[in-house]
Amino acid sequence: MASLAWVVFALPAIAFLLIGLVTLSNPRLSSLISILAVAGSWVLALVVFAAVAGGARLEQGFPWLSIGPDAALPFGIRVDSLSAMMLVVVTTVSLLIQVYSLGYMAGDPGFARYYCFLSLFTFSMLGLVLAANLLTIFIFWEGVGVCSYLLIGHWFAKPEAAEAAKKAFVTTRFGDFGFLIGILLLFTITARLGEPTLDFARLAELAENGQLMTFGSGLVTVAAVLLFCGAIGKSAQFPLHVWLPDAMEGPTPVSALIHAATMVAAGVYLVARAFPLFETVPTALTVVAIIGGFTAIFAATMGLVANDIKRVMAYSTVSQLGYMMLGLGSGALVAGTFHLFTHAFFKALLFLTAGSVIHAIGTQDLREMGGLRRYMPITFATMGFAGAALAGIPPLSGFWSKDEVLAAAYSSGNWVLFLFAMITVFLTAFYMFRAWFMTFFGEWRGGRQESSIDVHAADAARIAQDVHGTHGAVHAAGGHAAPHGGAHAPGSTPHESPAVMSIPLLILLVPTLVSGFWALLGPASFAAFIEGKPEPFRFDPVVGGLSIVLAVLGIGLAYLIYGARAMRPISVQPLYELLAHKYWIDEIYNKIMDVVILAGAQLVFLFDLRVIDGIVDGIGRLAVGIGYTVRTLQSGRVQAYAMVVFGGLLVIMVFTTLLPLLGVGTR
Amino acid sequence: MLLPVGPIHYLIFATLLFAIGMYGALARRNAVAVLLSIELMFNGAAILFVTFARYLQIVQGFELAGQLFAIFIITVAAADAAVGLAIVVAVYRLRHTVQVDQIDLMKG
Amino acid sequence: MSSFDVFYGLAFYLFAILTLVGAFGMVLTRNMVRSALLLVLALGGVATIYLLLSADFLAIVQLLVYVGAIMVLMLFAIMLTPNQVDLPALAERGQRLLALVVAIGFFIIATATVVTTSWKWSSEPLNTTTTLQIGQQLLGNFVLPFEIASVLLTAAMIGAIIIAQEE
Repeated sequence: MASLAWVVFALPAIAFLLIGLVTLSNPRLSSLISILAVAGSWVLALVVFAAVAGGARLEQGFPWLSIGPDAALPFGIRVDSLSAMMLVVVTTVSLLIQVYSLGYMAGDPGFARYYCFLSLFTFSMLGLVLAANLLTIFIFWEGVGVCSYLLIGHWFAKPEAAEAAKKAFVTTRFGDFGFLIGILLLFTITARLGEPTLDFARLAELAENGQLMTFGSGLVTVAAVLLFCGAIGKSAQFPLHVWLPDAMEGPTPVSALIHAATMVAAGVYLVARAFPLFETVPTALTVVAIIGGFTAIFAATMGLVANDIKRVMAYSTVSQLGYMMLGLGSGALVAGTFHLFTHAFFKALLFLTAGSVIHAIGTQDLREMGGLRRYMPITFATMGFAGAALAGIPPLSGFWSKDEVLAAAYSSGNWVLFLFAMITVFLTAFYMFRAWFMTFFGEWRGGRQESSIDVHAADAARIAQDVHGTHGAVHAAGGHAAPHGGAHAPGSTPHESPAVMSIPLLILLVPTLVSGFWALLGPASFAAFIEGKPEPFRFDPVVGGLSIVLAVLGIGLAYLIYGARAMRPISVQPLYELLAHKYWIDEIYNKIMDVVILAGAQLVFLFDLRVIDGIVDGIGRLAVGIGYTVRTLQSGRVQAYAMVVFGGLLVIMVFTTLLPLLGVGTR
Repeated sequence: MLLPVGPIHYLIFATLLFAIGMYGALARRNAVAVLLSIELMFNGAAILFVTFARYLQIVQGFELAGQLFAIFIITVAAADAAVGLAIVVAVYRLRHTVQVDQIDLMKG
Repeated sequence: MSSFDVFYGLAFYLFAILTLVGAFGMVLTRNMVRSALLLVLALGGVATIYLLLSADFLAIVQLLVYVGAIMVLMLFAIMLTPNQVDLPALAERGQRLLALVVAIGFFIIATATVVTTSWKWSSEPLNTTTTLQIGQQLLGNFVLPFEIASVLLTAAMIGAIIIAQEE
């Protein structure tokens, strides 16, 4: 039963190939293939989950890269509680988002291409989740990275989108570099121990029985931190967080899927998978916790002043990922993973509701929204619940998972991080409901004042023109610049999204409300499921109560300022500037890159000019010089030649007659 | 050592003549002078042969080989002088000079 | 040491010095005609040396051919190729020095070789008239070189005529 897992991630791969090679010209067929594939995967994922819940485990692979005469790095999958849980999460969210995209992306000229890459992404993500060893996970890690690039840059003719895609890829590359070095380091250590391996299970064994530390714990700490570097990149933690806000240039369903629920969770998943390793080197765990905790509050501050609804969500994602890292870093594997689980659902829901709003009124700017609760009740309600879950209001799912993280942070003894986390609770509630109030309360002012059609269709139109005009090779799936069914000219009354978009919202509402309760199921609880042994739910009433209070305060403040407009927002201009410009980090990075790269390029250029050209020219000049010198020998004067002849004769005579005479030379 | 005069004296003498001729061949500028010096070198060599003919143990039947050699040297020297001077004359006709350092058409 | 040896030695030294005077003079003088005439002196000296070496036929041949014919030829050539008088007769200093070095070096090495080699001197140095024997050898053991020499002379003659022809 558990070996059905192979089929789970093979189905989207087949869909990708089919769509990419065969049906790119037929958007409807492409979407159908993709959705069928992911639906099939979903069903099978549930089956696998049931099997694992019943105790089934699987580790299967085949030798892939031969590294010696009789050794080979395997490509393998591992089906256990962690991966089974992730399978369900990924397939569920993917399926819902793919259905949602039918409505959101309708009429887009790149419709088929979109589904093609979505299938590829689903395949990569599922492969990542199922990976049994570091090599396999790295392959799929890169796979999801590529898909992220492709999907962020879906509207590649728009310069900001292309830039954002590139930025995402390059930034995560930095992390991946550290990741790879970490992998190599672990491989070297295990090879020195006699049996080179990158297998998670094997590494866990070696870590637990202490063999891994044979060469000193410092080395293992470095390896763990390097692995975490990959997670920093992929999960957009500080300092590699800069790509995620920009990644919002991609279509909103993409943001929901990749940059909220799944891909960015890969970093957390990696740490979870390698957790036994991390546990043996507490320093590494501390690093994880510190970065996670800092990122949580850091991102939350930037979310306070964001005016683009998707950006608010993006900062929220970064912040919540920080929470997960904090949980893991505090030694609570269960807390971090549980928050990953609940967050996937409510964050996907948040993004999809944002997409619903954007689709309806054609703008992403909060300042142009208002009063939409009358026109979009479903979206209004679902975003409200999801936002409450994010803020950690019981009995919604977010409360339970966030509380576990906070409890873990508290009990790990790190006061500063705990403080950060608590402040972040307040900030999270505040910025989330600021966005909610700005969107749905107040008066509808008719949206954007431009006379063009909505952002989405306008860009689609421009892109279609570019695509048809200059990129003939792109498979623009039969789309012209016709506005699709959901676009509305500003000034007209916004209305709720079509069913194909609203129903996924409602479906996602269910886990948002109830998934938290899995923690309370005693012997069948999340903790028991993951760790294989029942554990009572760690509920600290003080921490829990405090977080509820902070959340309510945040919501209340947001209501006062943005809902009832009873208070003016406090404006501290320099602080605002700092936050609005994202602490100028992008600018700093650019500057550093400029300096470093230009300096490096200058150096290389000079090297090429002086050394390489010098050598090449030098050889040329040497040849010419030798030529000139030798030329003087050919004077044309016979007497000079005669001189040389006799001189040579003299030399020969010296060697043949004189030296033997003097006794020098071989006897 | 100086007396009685033996083969060594002749040998040294012949070598000296040869060396003098060599110097002349390398140091004179007139082409004919060079040819004259070469004649001197021939003579040095011939004296060597004749000396060996007189003083060396030689195979039966070839006792005067050295002197015969010297005769042939003279013959060859004659031929060489003839041709060499013909060339000099021809060159003089063309270039109006017989300075060896001015005849450098094969330069470079 | 017999008186013969003494006289013999004196004769050798006299003629040798004569020859050397001619030789040195020939290479050092600037005047071409003087140079040729000094060579004549040297060649004459060589002829006398041949006499001392019991090569009577050779001595006469030397005088007849070398002095009589070759040197005359040289003198003709000198007359036919008059140089401007102010042109330098000897090479520049550097070249002369180098030539000197080479010549002296050669002389030293050759002499050293000659002196240190253990020659198989015969007990009885040659002391006969040689004409008869030379004649016999020329048409006997040395007939091949003899014939080749004639061919050589013919070729040289023809070559010289052709080269020196007026166009």
